[in-house]
Amino acid sequence: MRDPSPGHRQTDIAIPTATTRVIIESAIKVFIAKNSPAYLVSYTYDFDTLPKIYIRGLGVVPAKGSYQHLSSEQELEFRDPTTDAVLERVPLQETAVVAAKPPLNEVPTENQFPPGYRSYTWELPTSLQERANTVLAKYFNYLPRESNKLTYLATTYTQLPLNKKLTNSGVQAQLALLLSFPHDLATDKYSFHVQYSAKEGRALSDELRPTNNGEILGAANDFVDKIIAEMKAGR
Amino acid sequence: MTMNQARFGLLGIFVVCLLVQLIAFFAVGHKMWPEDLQSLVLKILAIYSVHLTVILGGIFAQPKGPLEDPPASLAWTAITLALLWNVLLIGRSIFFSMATQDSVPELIKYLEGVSSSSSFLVTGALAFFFTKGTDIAKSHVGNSSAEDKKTTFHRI
Repeated sequence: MRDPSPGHRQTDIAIPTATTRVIIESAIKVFIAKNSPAYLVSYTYDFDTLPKIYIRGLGVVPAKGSYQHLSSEQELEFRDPTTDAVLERVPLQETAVVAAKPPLNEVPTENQFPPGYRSYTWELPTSLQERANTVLAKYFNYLPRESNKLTYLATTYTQLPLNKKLTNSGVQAQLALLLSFPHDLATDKYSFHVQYSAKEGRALSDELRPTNNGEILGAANDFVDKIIAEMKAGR
Repeated sequence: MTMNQARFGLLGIFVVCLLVQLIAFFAVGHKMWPEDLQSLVLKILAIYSVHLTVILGGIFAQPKGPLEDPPASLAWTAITLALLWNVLLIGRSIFFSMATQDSVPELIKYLEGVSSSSSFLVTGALAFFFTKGTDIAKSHVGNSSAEDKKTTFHRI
């Protein structure tokens, strides 16, 4: 799922955008739904005079770091979280053009996720966004968004590992996550919610359907636990 | 090869290949959604129905009396071409049933496209063996009743 364009040739057309403090390493056009274009953007930034900064969509993050995520915006915006002053606005321009039609990295909308969620506490000194970026990037691409003082990270679908019995009978499944935070904000900790959307498919059919299959939902729970454990482990 | 041997040979090829594909699809039916299995079965039946209609129609409408034997080379050519047409379909269907990952819509697209665009392989042979070629042997026609002659005339 990470490769945005498997099987597509790309042509470099632009030098990565760079300011003194933000470097866009790549920006590739993709679709996150039918007729919904977005960029898969990868960038590093360094605002070393500040303790923290605010990135629109992601929220407050460490002053130095690197991210790779989907963005449906035309620019990245960096602000000082204490004064709300704009530190940098970097327009997004394609650094590589997909020769064929841009690939589909379907990101479910928030109402496509079942309302049930699993709640976890985040009490680590490291930023949740940073850990989520590192861990989620192994399995998904994700689209950050902010609403009502909450940050939402909605991922693309990825193949869900299933037991041999299911795979031998041609059952396949995909999973997308929606992380939202901070909930129940306290001084040194908060909780974050994880919702997931699981779809069931068949090895010889194209269509994926929402599932109630207990074994698939069990595998989805295990997969979510594994991802959260990785985020908390700081590996 | 007699006309009947050639005709039943062709019937056998089409029926066996249809059955093999149906069995292959049902054997992996659990690896696809029920609607996809249904579409696939309907598609393969639709493809074969054209040729089997001609074959069975020719057999059931066969006039009384022995049929004139076709030239041996013609019969073997017809059988080879029928095998070739069926191999084009059955090959893809067997690969589909053995695949760990495939797509029913892609298979349907293939079956539709290949069966229609390669139909020239069998159309002529089936027309000859099941309509034009159903002439009653001349020796028999010479002694046959007027009714038999009439039947032959209409078949032509």
